[in-house]
Amino acid sequence: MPWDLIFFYIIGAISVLAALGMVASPNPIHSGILLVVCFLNVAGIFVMLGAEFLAIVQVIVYTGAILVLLLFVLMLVDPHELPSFYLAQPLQRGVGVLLGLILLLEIGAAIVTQTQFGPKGNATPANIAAMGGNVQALGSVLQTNYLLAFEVVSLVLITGIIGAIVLAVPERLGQRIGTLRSTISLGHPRGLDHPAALMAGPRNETPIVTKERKAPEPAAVRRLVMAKDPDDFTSV
Amino acid sequence: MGHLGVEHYLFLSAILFIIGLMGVLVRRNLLIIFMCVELMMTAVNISLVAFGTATDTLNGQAFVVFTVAVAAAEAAVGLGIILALSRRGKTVDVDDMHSLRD
Amino acid sequence: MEHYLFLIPLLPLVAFVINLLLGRWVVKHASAYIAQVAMFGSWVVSVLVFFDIRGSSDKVLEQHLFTWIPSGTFNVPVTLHVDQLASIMLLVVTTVSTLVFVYSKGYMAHDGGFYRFFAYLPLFAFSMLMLVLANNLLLLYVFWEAVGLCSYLLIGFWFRRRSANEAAVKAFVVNRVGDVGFGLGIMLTFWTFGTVDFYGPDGIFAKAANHAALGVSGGTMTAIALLLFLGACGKSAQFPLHVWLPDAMEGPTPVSALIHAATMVTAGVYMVARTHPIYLQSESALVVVALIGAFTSFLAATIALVQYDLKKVIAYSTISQLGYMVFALGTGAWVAAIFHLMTHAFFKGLLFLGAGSVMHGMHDELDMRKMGGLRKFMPITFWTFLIASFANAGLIPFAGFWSKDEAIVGAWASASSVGKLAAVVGLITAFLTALYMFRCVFMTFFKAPRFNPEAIHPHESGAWMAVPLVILAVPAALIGFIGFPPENGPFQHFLEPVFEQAPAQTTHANEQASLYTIQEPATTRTAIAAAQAATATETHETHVSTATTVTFGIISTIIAVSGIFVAYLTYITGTISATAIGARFAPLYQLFVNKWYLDEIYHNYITMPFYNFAMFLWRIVDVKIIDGTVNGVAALIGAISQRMRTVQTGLLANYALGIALGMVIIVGIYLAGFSTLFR
Repeated sequence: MPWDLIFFYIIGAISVLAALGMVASPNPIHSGILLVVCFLNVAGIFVMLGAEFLAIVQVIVYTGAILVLLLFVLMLVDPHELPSFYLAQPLQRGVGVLLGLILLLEIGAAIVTQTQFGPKGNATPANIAAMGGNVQALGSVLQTNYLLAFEVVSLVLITGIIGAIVLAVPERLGQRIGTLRSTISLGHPRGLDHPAALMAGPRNETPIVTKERKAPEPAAVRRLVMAKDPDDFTSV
Repeated sequence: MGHLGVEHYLFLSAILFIIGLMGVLVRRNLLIIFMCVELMMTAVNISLVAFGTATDTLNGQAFVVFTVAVAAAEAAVGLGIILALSRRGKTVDVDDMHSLRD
Repeated sequence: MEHYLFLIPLLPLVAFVINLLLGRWVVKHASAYIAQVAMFGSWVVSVLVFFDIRGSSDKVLEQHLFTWIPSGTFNVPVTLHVDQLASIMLLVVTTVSTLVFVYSKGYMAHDGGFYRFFAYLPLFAFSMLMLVLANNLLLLYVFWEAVGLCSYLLIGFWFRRRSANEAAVKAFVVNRVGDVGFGLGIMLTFWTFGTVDFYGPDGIFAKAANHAALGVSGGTMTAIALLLFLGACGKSAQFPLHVWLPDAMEGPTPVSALIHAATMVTAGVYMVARTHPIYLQSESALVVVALIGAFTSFLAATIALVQYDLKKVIAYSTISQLGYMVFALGTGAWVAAIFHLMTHAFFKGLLFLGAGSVMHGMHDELDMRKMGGLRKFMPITFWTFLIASFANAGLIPFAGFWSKDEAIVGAWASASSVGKLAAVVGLITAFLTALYMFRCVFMTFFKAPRFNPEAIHPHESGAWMAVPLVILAVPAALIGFIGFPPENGPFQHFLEPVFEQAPAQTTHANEQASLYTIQEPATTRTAIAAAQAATATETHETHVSTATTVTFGIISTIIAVSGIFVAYLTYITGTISATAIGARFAPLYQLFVNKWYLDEIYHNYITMPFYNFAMFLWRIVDVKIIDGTVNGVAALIGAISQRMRTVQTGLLANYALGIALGMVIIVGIYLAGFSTLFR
């Protein structure tokens, strides 16, 4: 049995077991750590596939950044409020497992039956080695064929960062900003211009109009005139 | 690649994907669901790299670079949402979050 | 001189802009002076242009201002073009306009819309002058519409009056009917000839003259001519589109004088005269023009006979006189038409201004039955009105005689029987004209007052109004002499270059041109004797024309005098009882009083069907079918959604299950349909 096969089975088995443990673990912190284990093994798979750069990215971005972030959130959420083990309704649970198994079977069948690949490229291990390695080869592809996508991704990232900041702003600060700003709909606060509706606010929501900040009075009560009967407005 | 066929990696990818999917379906803790989504993404990454290697191209790896970038953004936003929700509703149970219905 | 042509329309335009923008707050009552000075300046330039043109026999002035639509082969330049015809029109328009502007200063002095009035008037003058100066059909059409707009604005000047609004709308809508025809005519012209320019080797006129060589059928020429004439019918108030003009008297009287008597309504006549090379190519179109003109003149005269509203009488008289011009056009008497247009502008403008003066003195009373004896109260108005009435009735030394007589002779001299018919109708109408004109004069100015002089105190109008009356009376009395001797006067010679060029080009045109061989310079001025010797037919024509002229002069004088005499017997001595005649010919009288029931016919057979059709479209098609469909779709979707919304549980787990199920189905479809699993 060749060594690479042995390595693959070991790494694959560890990652699958870690993933199962992540799903099954009652403690979210354990789940997080098991996910780290799983991702590290996936990085090993990437190395076996010759994608050294992605393996490093996997370790740094996923296990390093994302999962650390996840653990931070776990810490920020009040641990006493964390439920120990949440499971869905029994019916949902059963249907979920069933669907997963069916899908697994289907994908397995698809993998077995499909053997056709597209035309071979020229990124053979020898060529990649000639370019100086995986990182250089991947870099040249990213900076030529995928340059536009590469730039656009930076916009996605910055949008994500801004979104995360906006969402994570503490509630009281957010409220203070919210009371100072109207919506963009022509100065109508939250699109409503009826004082009573403003005072009440949307159902089950805190009203945005408070004692300190009065609702703007409508300039004049407008009466909507509609022609109901054609004869009211025409004469022969 | 030796005698390790691409099918090995695809099966591993499929298994991890299904585990992630089942996790999303059976768990109710929003954080676990989030982790499962990340797992599914990684599983897809494996198959992308495996296809790329099988066809001697770097396109698969390039895709994965973008996937990882998007996943990072998604993680930031998703975790922000989870944080805001837990602050507001004092819970991370998805079944308790149905204010969208009304 | 051509470098200063732009001043003619520009000055009124400037006055319009100033009065419109600053009139209400800054200029106020000085707006009248601004308009008057601008119009006077325009008049001065027009006079200079006239003398410049008069200097040589066929001089033409042209000033290119800018190209309005440069689009490939379709170019519409804004070019001012003055030939003899246009210079005559310029003189008429600017003269009458200047005098009316002066008059309006007195007439409108106490009106709240003073500045607005003096903003609209120069706008009208600008549009009318541009219409006259246009060198292509499209530009003419633009300002044709612009004068229509001014007419609408000024008829509805007292917009708080319901009747004024309705009259304005009526005028506008009736004119639209004609203008649609005009617009189609322009399109057909462009489609046929590929240009809208009048002049030049590639212009409409040159192409129309040899349309046969260009492969354009005579039917197309007739269609173009008739469509253009439909526009002229609307603007010049010819049957069947004449109904708006009497109602247009709702506007201030200076407006009636300027727009609805002297200038704008003659735009149709001007346009037909301007495009006469097209009409020359279509015998049948000319017949239609002549018949409509003759019928309109008779119809309007009969209605004028029984009206009691002073302004309505003059309005119907205007329609009738326009009918004269139109049948003169239709029988090829182009010069006579323009001659009558010019004299009519002066005497009819004077009539309206006199009527306005009477209104002013009688505190807006228009019913002639409540007047009488005004000659003692307002002598200036009386004498000027009398002169204008003589001119309108066609009494011998006055302006109207020469031009009307020439129109009738021109019609008679044309080869066709339609021309003879038109001439006879013209003579009958001349009798009616004298009758209704002096019925009007006698009822208004003679006999004892039929109102309470203590209560009303009629008074002569002030200098602002009296002076224009006196000035206008001079051309109204004397301008006819520029057409003396008949058909051979300076006026006719002046206009020769405009109307001589087209006829000689085709044999078809020669039939029309033959009646005016007398006007061709070759036969008249330089070598009349040689021409007489050369062709027997031409001498024959000339001879007949001269004899006919004198004969018709005598006949029409007798007719006019007899008409005045009958009016005298009826309304002064009372020998003839108008009521008895009305009772004897009751059906005829009813027909005339009810304006030949034309308004009722239009209302019942055109307006109401359209109205009912529109109501059908509104109430059935729009409300029921279209709205019903739209609302029904919305209601249906709403009802479906109401049932579907229960699917949205708001539970994430259910949504995730849905996604997973979808994934299973999609992969299953792939396996079943596209993979080798089952093959």
